[in-house]
Amino acid sequence: MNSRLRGNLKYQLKQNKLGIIAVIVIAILLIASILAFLAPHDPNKIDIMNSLKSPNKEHIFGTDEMGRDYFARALYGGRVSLTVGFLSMIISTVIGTIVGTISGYFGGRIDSLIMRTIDILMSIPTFFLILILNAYLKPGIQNIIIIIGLFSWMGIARIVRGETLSVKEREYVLYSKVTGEKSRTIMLKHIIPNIFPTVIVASTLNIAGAILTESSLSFLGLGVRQPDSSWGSMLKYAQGYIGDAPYLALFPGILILLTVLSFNILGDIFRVAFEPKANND
Amino acid sequence: MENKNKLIEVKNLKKYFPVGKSSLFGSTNYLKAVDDISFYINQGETLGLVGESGCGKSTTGRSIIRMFDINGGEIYYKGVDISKLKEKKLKPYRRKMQVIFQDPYASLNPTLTVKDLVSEPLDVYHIGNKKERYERVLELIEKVGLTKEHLDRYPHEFSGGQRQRIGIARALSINPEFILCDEPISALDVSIQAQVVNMLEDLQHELGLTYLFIAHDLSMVRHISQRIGVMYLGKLVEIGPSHAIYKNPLHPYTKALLSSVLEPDPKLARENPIRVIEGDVPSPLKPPTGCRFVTRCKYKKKECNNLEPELKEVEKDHFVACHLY
Amino acid sequence: MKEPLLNIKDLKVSFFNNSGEVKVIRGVSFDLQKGEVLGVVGESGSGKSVTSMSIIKLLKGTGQITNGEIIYKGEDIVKKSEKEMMKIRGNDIAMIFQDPMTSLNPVFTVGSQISDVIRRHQGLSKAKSREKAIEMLKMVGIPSPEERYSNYPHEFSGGMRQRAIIAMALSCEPDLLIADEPTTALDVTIQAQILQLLMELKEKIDTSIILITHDLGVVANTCSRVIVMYGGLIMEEGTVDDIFYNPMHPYTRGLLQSLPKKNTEERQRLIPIKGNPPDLAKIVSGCPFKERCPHAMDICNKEPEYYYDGENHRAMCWLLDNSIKKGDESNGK
Repeated sequence: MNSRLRGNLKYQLKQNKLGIIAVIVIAILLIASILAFLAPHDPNKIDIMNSLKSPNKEHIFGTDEMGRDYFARALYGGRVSLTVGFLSMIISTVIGTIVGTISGYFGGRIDSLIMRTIDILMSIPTFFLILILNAYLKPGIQNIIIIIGLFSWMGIARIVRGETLSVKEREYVLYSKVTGEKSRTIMLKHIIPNIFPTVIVASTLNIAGAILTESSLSFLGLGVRQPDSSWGSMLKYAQGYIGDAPYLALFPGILILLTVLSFNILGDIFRVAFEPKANND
Repeated sequence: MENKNKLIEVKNLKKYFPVGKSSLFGSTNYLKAVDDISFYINQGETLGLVGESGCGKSTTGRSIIRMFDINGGEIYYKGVDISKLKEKKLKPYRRKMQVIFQDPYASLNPTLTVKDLVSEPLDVYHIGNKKERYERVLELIEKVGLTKEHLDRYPHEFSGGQRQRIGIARALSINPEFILCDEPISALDVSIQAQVVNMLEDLQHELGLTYLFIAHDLSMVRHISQRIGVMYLGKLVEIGPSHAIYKNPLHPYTKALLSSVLEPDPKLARENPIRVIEGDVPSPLKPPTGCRFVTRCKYKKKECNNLEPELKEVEKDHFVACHLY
Repeated sequence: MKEPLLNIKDLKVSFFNNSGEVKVIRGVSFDLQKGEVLGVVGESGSGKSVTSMSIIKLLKGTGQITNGEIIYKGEDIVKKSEKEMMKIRGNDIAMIFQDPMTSLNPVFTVGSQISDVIRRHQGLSKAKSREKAIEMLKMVGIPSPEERYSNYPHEFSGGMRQRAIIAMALSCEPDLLIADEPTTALDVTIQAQILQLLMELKEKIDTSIILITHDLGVVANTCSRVIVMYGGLIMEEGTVDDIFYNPMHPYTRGLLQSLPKKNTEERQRLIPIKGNPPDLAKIVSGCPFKERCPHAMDICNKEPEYYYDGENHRAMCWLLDNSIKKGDESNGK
């Protein structure tokens, strides 16, 4: 990223109050989930005597049906949700960028083949596919990350391909070609760095998507299993007590909402900042 | 003519671009960007190529440096036909041919520093070690009038003229013999154009370079070229020594083109008000049969409508494709 | 002297970006008489286009007029509201831009775009405005205008599009036409056609023209008076003969010298202006040309005033100052 883009980004953040809030929210959640071990209570310590206590001084988020501290569980849950979000984003971004660049750069038959494959993958209801796959695999964070990553790169690939089609006609790419540069080097040196801003935007939005998918899976009981928690699984268990302890659903729900919203806002700010027209010179 | 001082010879070059996808019914349409043209460039000379947009002058130049595959004809580089060579066999020739583009904004990768940009061709051919490459880049960048401080900057920090200098330094880095100048001054300010043209001339003298100089600015082309070719709708209509083209243009299109040039001289302008050639360039998708210029020509005869004129030598080295001669 | 059609006094325009204020126009004054063709010449960053956009108050982005008056027919445009400007634009003052591709809306037919303008400003009926639009298309030399009326912009060639734009601009018979590089995107043969057409129409509907260009050939062939701009200031102003045959400012001289000479047999080396066009964000004070000027002196850090040669020929340069003129020989440079 060069200084001009960085300047634009700073400017956009300065202009956009909502953006600052989004960045702060994400930062707090990140720090909180990294430092979750500092929480005053063990998230897995069962204390049946203290079950379903409403939020109080001791347990600021209250306790769940087994008397575990809900705040600590939310922190550890956040760690899981964010980890899943980031790692599966990295998987999908890497695959999407590579596939998209190859498809756009070489064009012709390779392009047709890749694009039709993507069309097919995109017309399969991915969520159900994940459900089925997940049922056969051992549930756990690792598998969730890999599965979500493997099924969410198509959008990025499409965007990258489109950008590649335009970048490959630019004269610096033509120059490299007639100088005898290898295709692989052209893609790595000239094409990918120039579509990188677009990739960042798409992958930021992908984090939000991955977090939502993970929550949904866990909510259906196919993601993280007890005693580990994620925001999705916390929501699942909160279902049974929605009448007695609505706060059990409220906290993870709000956290998911805030996180996803913040990433979406951030993605939007990246988009505006990296748009070539956005700079006023 | 002797073969030995021709650096590049183009014979019957054809380049067609498919237009629109071929539908289920009917065949693909082709835009005949360059349709059967032949010419040569002598070693150490500048051949100017002029014409209006869509005439195929850039496509001709880009075909020579094999930016894309051509549809017909041969391109000889020092007597070797390079038009059908595969990439591996072509590489030694790629090293001898370089290009400078029109748009200094689009021709430099915005994410690389000047140092990386200029050393790109050196990297491709694995020339020298890191230190030697750095020294070469420094030497080149100073040659084109920039300084050491500029090496770590990005293209957007430079003005158009400076960017064009970076492009020139990059082209020179691997000691090419031939440089395609694809409208290198069209996007520059008037006061900067002269700087770049002077630099190109100095480099030609110093390094014995051969240029194909493509432009639509006729006065600059006359200044820099020894010979000039005029293109119209994919055809070469006239080619000859610069002074002959300007003093004694033969083809009606060349005449029209020259009379459309607005001289920066108010007295001259008052004496000769703007002379206008009627009509638009026909669509290159449906060029007229016979002579391509027939729709706008004042002197057209019957045969112009269906018989395509051949390029013939009217004076020494001065060729024209017109039924008047 | 009769009242000028347009009188600009000490106009200053700034843009505001991440790093602060960028002064793009730093005090420009000139006037335009009725029926005149005024050429505004300059390189990129000279402020020539911003000057014209200020006249119709269509500054892009963060641009703001920070000082000065633009008196058009006795009224100050700077003080006018957006609503009042809507009535003036297109009707009293029309504009032609460089790029004929983007000046027309691709989703409407060319004819309907012209008749819309006529209807909006002259309140004619649909049928009447259509008639007028066809008449305009005919006037700008578009063959079979009735059929062409219902064509879309992409069905026109570049030259035809620029003709259609001229038809649109002149449809309300404006008193002032601002043409910003109207032929830069066109080929030479088409450029000649368009300029000839503009000059004919100017006589026919009696309009004044401000022609913004970087091409001295265009200026020599069309304008009666010329303004040479550099770094947001007018460097020199005079009749076309003053500027071409008796330039006072080193910048004007440099521009003329950098063009290739015509009637010489052997090739002469070109004489460029050294250096690069100004970076407006960096100019602090004094003459904007001082970095590139072969005659730059210490005093050039102070902004020079205008020196006159006759009533209408002026230039902003310390070399024209009497005290410096005398000292020049002894100083050498």
